[in-house]
Amino acid sequence: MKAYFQLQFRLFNRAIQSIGMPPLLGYVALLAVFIGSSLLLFSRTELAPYLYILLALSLIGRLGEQRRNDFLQMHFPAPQYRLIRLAENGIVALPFVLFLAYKGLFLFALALPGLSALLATLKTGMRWQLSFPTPFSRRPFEFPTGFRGNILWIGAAYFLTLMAIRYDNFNLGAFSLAAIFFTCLSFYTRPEREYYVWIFHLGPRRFLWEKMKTAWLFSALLSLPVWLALAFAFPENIYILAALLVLGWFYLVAIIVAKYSAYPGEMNISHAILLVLSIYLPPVLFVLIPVYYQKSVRNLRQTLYDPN
Amino acid sequence: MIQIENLSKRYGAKQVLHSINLHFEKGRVYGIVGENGAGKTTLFRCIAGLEPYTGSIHTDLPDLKNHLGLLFTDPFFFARMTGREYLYLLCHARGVSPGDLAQRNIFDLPLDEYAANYSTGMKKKLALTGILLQENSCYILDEPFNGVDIQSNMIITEIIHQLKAMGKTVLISSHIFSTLRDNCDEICLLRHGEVLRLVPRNDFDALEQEMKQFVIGDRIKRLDLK
Repeated sequence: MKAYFQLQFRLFNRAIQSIGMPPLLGYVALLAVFIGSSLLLFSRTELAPYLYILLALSLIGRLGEQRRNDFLQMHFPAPQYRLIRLAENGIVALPFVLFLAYKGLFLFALALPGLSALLATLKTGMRWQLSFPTPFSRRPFEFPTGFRGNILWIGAAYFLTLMAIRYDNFNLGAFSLAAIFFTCLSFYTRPEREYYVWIFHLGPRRFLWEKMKTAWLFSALLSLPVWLALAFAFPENIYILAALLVLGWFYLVAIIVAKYSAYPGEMNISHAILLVLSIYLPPVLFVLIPVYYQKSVRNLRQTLYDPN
Repeated sequence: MIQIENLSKRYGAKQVLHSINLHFEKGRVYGIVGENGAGKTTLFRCIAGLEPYTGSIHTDLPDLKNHLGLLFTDPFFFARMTGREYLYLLCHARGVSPGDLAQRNIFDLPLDEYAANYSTGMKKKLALTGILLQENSCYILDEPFNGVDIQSNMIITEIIHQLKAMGKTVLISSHIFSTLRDNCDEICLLRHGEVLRLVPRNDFDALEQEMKQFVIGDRIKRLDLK
């Protein structure tokens, strides 16, 4: 079991190194991001403890993925397998438990280890025979697959919209709209296999344009219920809501061109820093998008036929 | 038509393909055989434009990649993408209509289930269906019979014959000699990244005997089975 965790540690270090960061610095950055986003979340909404538990459980749930667990079950004796599952769920839950305790939310801090222990007995990602229908099926793959993988988050964002209207909290509503767009952005963070680019009969510019059009259309479809509900409930803030929508579309363009500017590799730490910077300073997008766009076109020329 | 001239490929210090010269005609089926690591998949990837190489590949098409159906040995599917969505994606990418999938789903695949959860054979059949719906002029089929049931094997063989009759160029790699004998007009023998020879249909039996002798040799004896 010790060897298993040593291996996991090495793999995690490699994952940090693969984004161009020394492991030690990666841990410090991770801790800073974790504390920063936790503080931010708790400063924004009174529903933070529930969202926090949901976030922790969704991360822990990933460890219960079926194929991974089948592998562990095959190679470790049953008592060791259970111990491994309990230990790794506990490791992921620990920072969340500590932060909840720090905030004096002891009931939540006690509930989380219990729930994570319960999750250690379950396997997620069972092979369902039927798929979840989506309105995006005609234009795969980002939105149909992303929507299905993040259905809980999207549901939570819709729920937050209802809460925002019920408690007359516009900030929470704006947060829920932003959460929808952040979820859409997450569909574009990983590069697809080259075959899924190669199959297109388009040149790089047309290819990127198609990707953007699909992202705009489908993100509008996903965010429309939230947007309309908020516009109806907070008509005095309709300009802010419109600005959020437009900003969301700009970020979608930014993430698409950022992704293909690194293609076929993954986005690295410089992409992450600049994208995060653009969240705090949106005008950065006006520089970022054209630069990444040109780079994407150059990169995609290696995979797509470009008559020009 | 595909004309390959002096094609070479190197991964770092390792030379994978050495000055390959091949000519593939329309309406003919070509088999590419060789041991694991002989360079078959690399050759296919170079033809598809997925790898940079030295040398040249000429075709009578303006852009080969947009008229090429490429079936990988182990096709990849996104998690949570249905078979139907995969077919839509492949058709949308080439700007062709998928048509009536209820009718064109000749392997009776469960198109509304997630493709990543399909069995090995079903994945292969889905990927093959996808490239057939794209209406390509050339096909590269890397191990098309691998993991596929006997009924589908027969269907695939028939499809290859049909493609040939329609004047398409088909390249197949397979580790099952009988499938190549049934389908190919010519077999290209690759060894260590070099074209060892091109064998016409009349000489397939001799090639099989020769390969058996070369590959098996005294290996089984050396195992000293008891």
